[in-house]
Amino acid sequence: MRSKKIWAAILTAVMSVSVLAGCGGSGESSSQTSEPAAVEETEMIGADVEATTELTDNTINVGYGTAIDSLTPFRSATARNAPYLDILYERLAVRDSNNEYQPYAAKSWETTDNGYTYDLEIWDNISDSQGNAITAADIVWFIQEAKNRGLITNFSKVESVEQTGDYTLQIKFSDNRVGVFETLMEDTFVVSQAAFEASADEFATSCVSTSPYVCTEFVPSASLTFERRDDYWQDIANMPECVRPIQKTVNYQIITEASQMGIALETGTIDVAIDIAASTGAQFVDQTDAYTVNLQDGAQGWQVFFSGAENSILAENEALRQAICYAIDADGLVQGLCSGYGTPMWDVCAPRLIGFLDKWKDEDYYTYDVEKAQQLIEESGYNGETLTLLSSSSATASTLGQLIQNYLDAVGIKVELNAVDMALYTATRLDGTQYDMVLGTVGGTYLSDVWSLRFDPAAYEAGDATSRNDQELADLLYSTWTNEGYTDENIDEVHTYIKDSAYGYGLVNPQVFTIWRNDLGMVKAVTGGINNYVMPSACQFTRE
Amino acid sequence: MIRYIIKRLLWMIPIILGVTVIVFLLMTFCPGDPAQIILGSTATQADLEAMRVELGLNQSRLVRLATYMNDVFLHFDLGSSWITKVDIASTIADRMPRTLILAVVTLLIAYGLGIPLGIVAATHQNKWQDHISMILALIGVAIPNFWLALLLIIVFSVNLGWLPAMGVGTGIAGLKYYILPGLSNCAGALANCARQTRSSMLDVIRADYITTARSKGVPERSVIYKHGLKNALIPIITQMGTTFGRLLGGAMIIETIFSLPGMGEFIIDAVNNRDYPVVQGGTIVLAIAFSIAMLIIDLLYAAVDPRIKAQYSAAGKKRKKVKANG
Repeated sequence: MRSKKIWAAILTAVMSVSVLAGCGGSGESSSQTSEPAAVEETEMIGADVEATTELTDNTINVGYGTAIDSLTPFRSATARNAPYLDILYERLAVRDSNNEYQPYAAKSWETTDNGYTYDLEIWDNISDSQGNAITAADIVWFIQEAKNRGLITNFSKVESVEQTGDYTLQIKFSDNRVGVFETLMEDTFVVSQAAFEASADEFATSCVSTSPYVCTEFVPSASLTFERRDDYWQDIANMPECVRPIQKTVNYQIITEASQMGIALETGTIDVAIDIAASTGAQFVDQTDAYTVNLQDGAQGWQVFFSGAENSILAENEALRQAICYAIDADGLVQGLCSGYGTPMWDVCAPRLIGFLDKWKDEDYYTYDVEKAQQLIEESGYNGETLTLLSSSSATASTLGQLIQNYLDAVGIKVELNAVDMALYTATRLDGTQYDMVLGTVGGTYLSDVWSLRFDPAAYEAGDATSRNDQELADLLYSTWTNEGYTDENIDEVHTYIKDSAYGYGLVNPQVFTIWRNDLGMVKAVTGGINNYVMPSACQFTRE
Repeated sequence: MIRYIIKRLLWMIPIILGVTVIVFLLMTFCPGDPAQIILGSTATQADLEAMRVELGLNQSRLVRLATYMNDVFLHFDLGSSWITKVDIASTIADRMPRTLILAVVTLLIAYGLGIPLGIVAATHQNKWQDHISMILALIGVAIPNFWLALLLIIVFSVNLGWLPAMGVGTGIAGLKYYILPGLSNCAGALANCARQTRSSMLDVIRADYITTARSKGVPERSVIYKHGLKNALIPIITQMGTTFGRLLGGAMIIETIFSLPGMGEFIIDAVNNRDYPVVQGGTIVLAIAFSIAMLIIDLLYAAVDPRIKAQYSAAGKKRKKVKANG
């Protein structure tokens, strides 16, 4: 009996020591809980250094956390943001760090009827790595194919697309909605129709592109290697800075486990980690001798939307919706969800979206106020009913759901968290009868796109994305759809209406961590693309 | 014996067919619309309908099942992924070897260490060697593999720099990428093996034939390893088979931590995306691999125990005799 007790004590000690050893990590990480909320964006290194056209023989190893399963150019909206895509395929135009569209494979474009019709010219010397010359016919084919496949909504707004010359084409849209043409250029990859049709798997495992790089090795979900082409068609000086092929070789390592990304950076397996989780990224913030941490505001943010379906008690109860907004501490979410590396939001859309007005940052956007929340709950006639909060079962969404559940519990609102897998979430999130609140992370290019996706009552069968039918909001929304209507005044009206009616509430916008080793000798970190990620192939650094 | 192998191989046919039908039906009853997942929330109703038609989701389950079985079993075509468009057979051909190597490395470490540990524990019952072995076994069962993985990475990759912390390699040199995943994955199997070996050996070393061997002056080493271990191996081999089966499909966490693209990650992602052809194709291949592993286990029984081999042979002869006598 006595020996069993001794063994039990030894075992307990061993387990305790090992648990402590495993959880300790570096001292730097533990200090992060006391970081103030809303850490500011960091200035990009070398912002004042001139863009270079000098190509190097450098190799750069990049860690990225999202699995790459296929190289196909026909991908859904959710799979179009990865940083490697900009060197895998060329787009007609690419967004720079100032959110402005720069011509890439397109040479120029113009509209003669205020956005309904666009005439577009592409460069006349584009060729892919197999030597196929690209003409306007290839672009027309891609747009038609993308439209037929229905993977990205913008293509469905194309009424017709015609080749008007060897290197010119005309695109007609069903309406002149703001930004549709620009985002279509961003989503149109330049691919030879002949090469694509000759591929057995639609370029899923091996692609041919006009990009300055060739993908020489692709191990799905593991790695992707790019080598700069010697026969690239474009003069580097004509290229947007964020896609210039400064490095000779770019290796992407797919590391989906956050702490492994940190270890890869520490051991030098990778030079740059893009979009590393805040819990791991925070460990590097104070190690300024060895690493540079760049923080940028995210492009999407997290939001909660309230059901507009008749069976939900929130549908017609504005006071209760507002009470919920006041009961949630956005600064607390910044701490709890992203270790202090994030910002509260000022709209359901993130500030990176084109059209966002800076003055909203000075407004009161449901600042955490428990007393006001309780007063509104009383006004609302809430009787203790349990509200359902739908979220996906991803780690971030589940954590956010639990934090909200706790905040609402503190003011007496009962919440049942329904965290389901992504497939079920996708199937139910547009049906307001299935929940009272739904968590989302919504992104896009223009404010009107994102607002329309959520609040246009004509967008889905049962109304807007939460089954609501508010024609007043719809009219305000439609006024922002055209180029001439996309004014600060109209945009502000929509923002104010959504805010006051509390149909949705912007919760928290996690910052994007990009970290690189200082032994890289970074001279200029170049960003761009849809999410404004650091573009490793275009950066200037001194290490050979 | 050959007859027995052929019979077992033939039995695999209904098993695989059964697995296919069950997985197919389970997937189709899962909530979630593959068309919506592929096209995203911005898709129009018309796009969704068109996608459902393209994927064949507008047809009845029976028609889809019949079409699928026809493609797979008559044309040996597993199809391509709905989400990524990659050919499923070639993807499995890339990923399956990684999962198999990981499973084999894990088994080698687990049973290479577990069996000696169990033998030491059994032959030194209630002594300190027994206690140490069983404490190690207990720790092995209790340690979560993801935690052990991170600990091993910190020691062997970060601090010592001996082994890679992630990735895949090719050829013999590529085997080093499987050592840390194998070590992380083997703790539970090693512990179970040690406990099973101890238990089996304790049963065997008390048997009369072991006492007889000792009384005849057979050296103790021979008694333990030649007479004892050989007879204690049957339950250990059985356990090895089930462990191998579990390793084939259940290494998702280890694959994620070590960025090792294998079958676990492949199938789990497909389940989350309702990528029916991938889930079905992956499961069929795993079922075949598991059936073959079980056949090998049965043949190992015969190799270590002549009585079982005699049974296999006797069954064949008996049938021949019955046939000859009419």
